[in-house]
Amino acid sequence: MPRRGLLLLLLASASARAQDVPAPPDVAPAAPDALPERLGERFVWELRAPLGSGARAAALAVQPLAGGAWFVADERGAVWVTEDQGATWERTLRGNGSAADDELPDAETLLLEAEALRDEALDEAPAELEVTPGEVNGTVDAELDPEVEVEGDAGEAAGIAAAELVRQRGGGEAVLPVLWVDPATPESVFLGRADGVWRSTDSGRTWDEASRSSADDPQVTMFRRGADGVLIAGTVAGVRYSVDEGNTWIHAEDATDGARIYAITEEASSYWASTSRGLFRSANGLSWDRVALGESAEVRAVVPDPSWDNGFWVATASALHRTDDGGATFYVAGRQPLRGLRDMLHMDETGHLLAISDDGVWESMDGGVAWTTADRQLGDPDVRGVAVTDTGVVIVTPRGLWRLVAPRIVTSKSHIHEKSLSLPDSIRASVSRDEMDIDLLSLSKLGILAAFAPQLDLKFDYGASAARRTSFATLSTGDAYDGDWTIGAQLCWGGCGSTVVVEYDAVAPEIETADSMYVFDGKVFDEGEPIAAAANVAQRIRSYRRYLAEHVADAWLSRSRLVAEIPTVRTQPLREQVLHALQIQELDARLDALTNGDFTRSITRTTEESR
Amino acid sequence: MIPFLFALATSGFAGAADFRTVDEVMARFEKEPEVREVQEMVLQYSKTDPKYVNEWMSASRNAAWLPEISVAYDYDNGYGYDYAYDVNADGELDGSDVDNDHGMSVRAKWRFDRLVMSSDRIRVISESQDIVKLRDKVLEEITRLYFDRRRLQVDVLLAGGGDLKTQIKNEMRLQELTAQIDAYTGGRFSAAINEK
Repeated sequence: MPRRGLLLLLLASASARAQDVPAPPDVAPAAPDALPERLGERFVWELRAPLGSGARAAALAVQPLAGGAWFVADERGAVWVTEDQGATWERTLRGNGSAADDELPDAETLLLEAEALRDEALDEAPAELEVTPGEVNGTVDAELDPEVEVEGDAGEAAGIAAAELVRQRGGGEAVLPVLWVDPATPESVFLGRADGVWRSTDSGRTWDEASRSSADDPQVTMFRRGADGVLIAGTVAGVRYSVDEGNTWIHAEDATDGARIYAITEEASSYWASTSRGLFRSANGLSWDRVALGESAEVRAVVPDPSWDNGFWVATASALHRTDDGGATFYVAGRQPLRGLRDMLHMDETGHLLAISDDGVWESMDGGVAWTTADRQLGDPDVRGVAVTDTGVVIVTPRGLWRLVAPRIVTSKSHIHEKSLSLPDSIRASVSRDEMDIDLLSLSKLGILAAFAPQLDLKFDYGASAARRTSFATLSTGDAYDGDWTIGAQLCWGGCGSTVVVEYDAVAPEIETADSMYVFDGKVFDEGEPIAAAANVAQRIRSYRRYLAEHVADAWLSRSRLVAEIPTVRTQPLREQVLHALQIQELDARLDALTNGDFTRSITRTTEESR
Repeated sequence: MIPFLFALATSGFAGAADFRTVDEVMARFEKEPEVREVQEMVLQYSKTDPKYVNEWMSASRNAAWLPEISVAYDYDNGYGYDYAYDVNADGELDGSDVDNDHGMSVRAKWRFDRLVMSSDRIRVISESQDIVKLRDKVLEEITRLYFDRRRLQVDVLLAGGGDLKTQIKNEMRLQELTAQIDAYTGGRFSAAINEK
């Protein structure tokens, strides 16, 4: 079909829709019954209950079934499952490296080895962290940011530190975990994360490690089925295949080697790989050839057009390409750049495209020529995953899972005025708990004071002697008694051990403790270097204070949003109102836990009718 | 065993029609411990209450005021005999002497630098960090479990029991959440429900 035909079809379709679409109801249902004409105009995003435990969502997958489970992976690869559209979550797989949080190094074991390993332990910090070019462009300097908390073994610590540094300094896009539900057997769910591939065969309830990441099997970035049921995985360095459900991977060296694979799409009797090095084509998913697009930019998505045989779009960061002949020829369909594009979907209606990026959600109604935002009330633009479920469109951002709902019309005339701890005060109350006081370890002040503090010795000695002397020559006996006591005081600064002399032989000599050691956080310190140890502890406090600040802010903002929604929620069914109230109570309890109860004590509420 | 939690949530409740307001629904759970009571149970059971940490901190500060005390005692018993030798006679005891010496020393040492900073205190601060993290973690988890359980109760209360399979599934989930909360509170949660 010629391009002019497509344009006429789009215009006709748009015209027909304009007449058929009914007016929005005054009070909309909780979720859209059908996909709307333009999502961004008619619907808003609603954040479902956050995952909890401070998890930052990174990937999303849904079972293609009515009422099927939804899966979310956080940045560390922990998997959370919900069977009630995000109202409640259950974590079924711990994150990569989570065990290290709970199992701190055994201090006694370290002490036993400390003498031999002392130098290595103190010089453990890596000199430079190299980041694979396929993952991130550039090299990260070695001086570890003091805010970065390094845990676990050296390899894992280096990985965490590298990811954190990359995230903090914006040096590139970190590799996030990926989730995939096998459409042929929806109870099979695959997870790719830093430590390897994990597989569940019971809808995410239990997980088994299928294979571990290695130099030849790098981190997986996507899954799909190929010809004859072969499992295909895109990785940060090319394509891999498995014929045993991910237990072992085959590296058939081909043109995709070294390229980060974003997606593989089946269309027009071919497989199309979207990669950091452009577009690749394969007849069977096993061997690949590069497709020239007229530019070398990376390709982020291939989007089939269900209304056009052999028609699909190819999305790059700078333009949207289109083919109408199965990839024989391409032309530019749209030139509007989509910064940070991550994925693109074709919705039910012809030419309706939905794009997610680290800059929000965008949609186009004309096949990618013009784009508009679709992120009303989306409080977090860093969109990392999207899926179309039987209840509508859902996405994930680091804050959690969002779904599209109709904006609700406020009918209540009453307003709730609530006064509680402000966000800065809440954070302050959390990080200034007694145990979190950083002033306890104010190094410059304490170091100077300690250096000038003297040692005081008080000494009391008493001696008594009795002597009897007998002389047979003179036939005389004499007794002599003698007693004396002394008391002394001494102040000394530094090196006091050698200046105090105790006169009696029976007194044990001074024993200095310079050679004894102790362990903090996996590092060995001499008894005589408390400042070094204090610095180590202070770093841990700073790191945890930062975590607390983020955690409290997240809870506080979520709570503020829920409180603001109270008048709106009153128009909803009783169940929704109760669940909404429970969400607020839960956030209150979380904030209380982090502020030793200060948050609830600060709340005062008044309700008044508006005029 | 009678599934008491499910019975609590369903028996006598006809469904959502019986309730008109959020407060009426919440009132159905008045006989259960509030979340802050459950948090207190966790703190007591896990010994992570802030008062313990404060006691450690106080002890580590005040310990430096106590001196290092050393006490020594020595006793020296000496004796000697003097013999006089004459060329025409055997040796004869000429004299003897006995010495008894007693010595005692008491020494007290204060290191004022340890009032400012000591390895013991740093160790306590370091340990207290682990306690704070553990406390925050268990409170976060118990809060989540508490409200997961409450949401399930609300669902059962307002949506009705459903079919037998759904009822059994809900009952199992409710018992599981209760058991998890009991694990964090040493059984105090169920005990508190039974008391009320």
